[in-house]
Amino acid sequence: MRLRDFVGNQQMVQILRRGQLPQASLFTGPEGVGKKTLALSLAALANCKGGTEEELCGTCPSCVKEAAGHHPDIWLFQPHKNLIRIGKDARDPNTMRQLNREVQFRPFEGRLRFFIIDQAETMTEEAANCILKTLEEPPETSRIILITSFPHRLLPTIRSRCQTFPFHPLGRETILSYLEDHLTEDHLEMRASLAEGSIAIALSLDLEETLEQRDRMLGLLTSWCEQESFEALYKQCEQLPLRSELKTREGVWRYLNLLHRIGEDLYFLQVETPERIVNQDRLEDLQKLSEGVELNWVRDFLYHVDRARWDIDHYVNPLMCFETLWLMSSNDVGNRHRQV
Amino acid sequence: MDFVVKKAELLRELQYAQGGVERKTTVPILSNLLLETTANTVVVTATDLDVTVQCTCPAKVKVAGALAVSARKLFDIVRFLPEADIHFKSDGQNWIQVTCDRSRFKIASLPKDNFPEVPSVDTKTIALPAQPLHYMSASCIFAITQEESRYTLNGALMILKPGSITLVATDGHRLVFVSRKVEIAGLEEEKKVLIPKKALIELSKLTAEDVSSIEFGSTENHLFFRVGKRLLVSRLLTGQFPNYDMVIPQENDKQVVLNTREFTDALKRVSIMADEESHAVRLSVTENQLDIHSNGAEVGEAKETLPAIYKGESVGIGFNAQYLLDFLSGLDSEEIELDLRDEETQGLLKPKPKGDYLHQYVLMPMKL
Repeated sequence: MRLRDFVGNQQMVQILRRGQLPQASLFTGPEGVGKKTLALSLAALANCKGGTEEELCGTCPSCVKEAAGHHPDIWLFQPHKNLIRIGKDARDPNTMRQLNREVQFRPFEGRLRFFIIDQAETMTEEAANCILKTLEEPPETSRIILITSFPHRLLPTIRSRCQTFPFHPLGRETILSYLEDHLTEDHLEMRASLAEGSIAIALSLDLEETLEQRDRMLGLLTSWCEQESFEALYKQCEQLPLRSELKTREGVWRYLNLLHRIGEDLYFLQVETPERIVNQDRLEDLQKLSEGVELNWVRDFLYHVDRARWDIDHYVNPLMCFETLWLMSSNDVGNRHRQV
Repeated sequence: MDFVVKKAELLRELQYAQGGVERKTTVPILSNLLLETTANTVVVTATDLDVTVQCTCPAKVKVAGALAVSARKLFDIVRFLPEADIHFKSDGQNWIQVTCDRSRFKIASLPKDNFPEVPSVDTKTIALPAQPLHYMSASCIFAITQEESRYTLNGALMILKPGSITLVATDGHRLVFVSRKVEIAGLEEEKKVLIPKKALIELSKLTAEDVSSIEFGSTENHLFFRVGKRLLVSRLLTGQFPNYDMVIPQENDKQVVLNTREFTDALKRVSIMADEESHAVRLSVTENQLDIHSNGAEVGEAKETLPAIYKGESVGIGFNAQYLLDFLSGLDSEEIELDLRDEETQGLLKPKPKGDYLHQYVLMPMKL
């Protein structure tokens, strides 16, 4: 993709397209904000035969090969069966031993060789350890880019050998304008709002299902705030499809994100900035809900959702995370918690 | 694209090109061959990125063009076709029609753009004598390391001087040094390049035919060897080759002369009883006599005594028999000289008489 078409994180794009990319870099940031796209575009830019210093042409043989994934100097390593492995030997495709070997060569037809490791957090420990030496001092014509949404899952020895480039979630307007150019359906605004700052999510989101799930969470939160009864909560959670979805990490992660979004909306209502509310279509319900809670409770609730998301990310049992969230946001416990 | 070639001619070129094709499909496009027409030839290109082989085959070209096709399929098709003219015709899209005698094939093809660009030889080339290079590459390939992790040892070092060519290969346990005095025209200063193992193997195949000289050139990233109408391009290995001069012993004063044939046969027999992992044998030299002894821990032992030409103190040393045999089996000289110093200094082997080549083999001793 041409760099001027790249959406969001412009500051990073400007730095990277101009300056020299360090020999080993780590692109971090949420999924679907363009980490891999940018890495591939930078690789294409460095090897482009037409174009200018800061923009690739997209039409020269080098760019054509990059786009088709055939470029002999641009290597993309991706997890196979959820893991990036060390491999049997240096000829084993898509493994870190192959990377170690290939890094040693000078470019075949371009100017720089690029090695992009996507979802680097899926590297096994042996795989990660075996590229340490390579990361430390790759030959001057090779560049290594690690991409991950979960930098803390990487070995500290890997992180310390790379220069980190954090990517940020994209703003709602940025996503909306992108969607307007690329999709022709209604409800684009809703889609952009629910995309969590990621173009990939915005494009792949099942709007209907997400709204259903959102309503489920809104219902849950409303009844919790009215009665604050664990019994009622359990009853609701025992119903399908919630019961099965709450057992999976992805399911709870999705619901926590939706709860966070609702919490933010409540916060915006409390501080009287309703234009920032995402769930505009359920404004009335939100208003009703907002009347029954205090600003402090909303703040605490957002904090607890964040904690729960952190726990999920660190492999705590998903159902337990979800239950703890409600326990922590009950007024009793919450008050006690605040006193401590 | 539309052209006609003779079966035998195309097959011969495909056999050479086959050496360059990637066997494991890391990059799918590399399992293809590129067919490109010129005025009256077809150029066949194969690459696995390490090595690129480009062959030229005479052809009657009606419509020019360039396409990539599956190397395996094309090779098999051509191999089994009768001795006749083969007609290649592309339909302008993704298919090539191959007709020969009564057979008809339709092969899928890819546009040229997908195929890696063959590095261009836009550098000054120098002519090297083909036969010495063939002999030298054949005699040092075995010593190039198998260990993929020691990248700089994954090739042989070629040193070109205005008056000589030298090849050096090592794997850390042994080292081959082979050099020959040759006038190289057009070479002004010493030049050192690392030739990867695979390129050296392909080069020795290409020079096996009757050619008198090859053209050699190098750029920042590649090495070029033009042998007749064929072109071999190799990627350059980065890194520093070890300082081989330090390894070749200069003060080995105990010189033992042996009959090559006798020594080889005796080693083959004695090594049967050697330890299966280390292949260790012990050589003990006394006046005009060499004892070879092996002792496999629970297997048994073997001993053989050979006549030798030697005067001096007796000395004993351990070697890996396999390493000795690797070197000896490639020799055609009648006698061999083994230079030793003590049991901790590396041994040096040289064929006798010397002939045109300065051929040396350094072998690290083993503690027994």
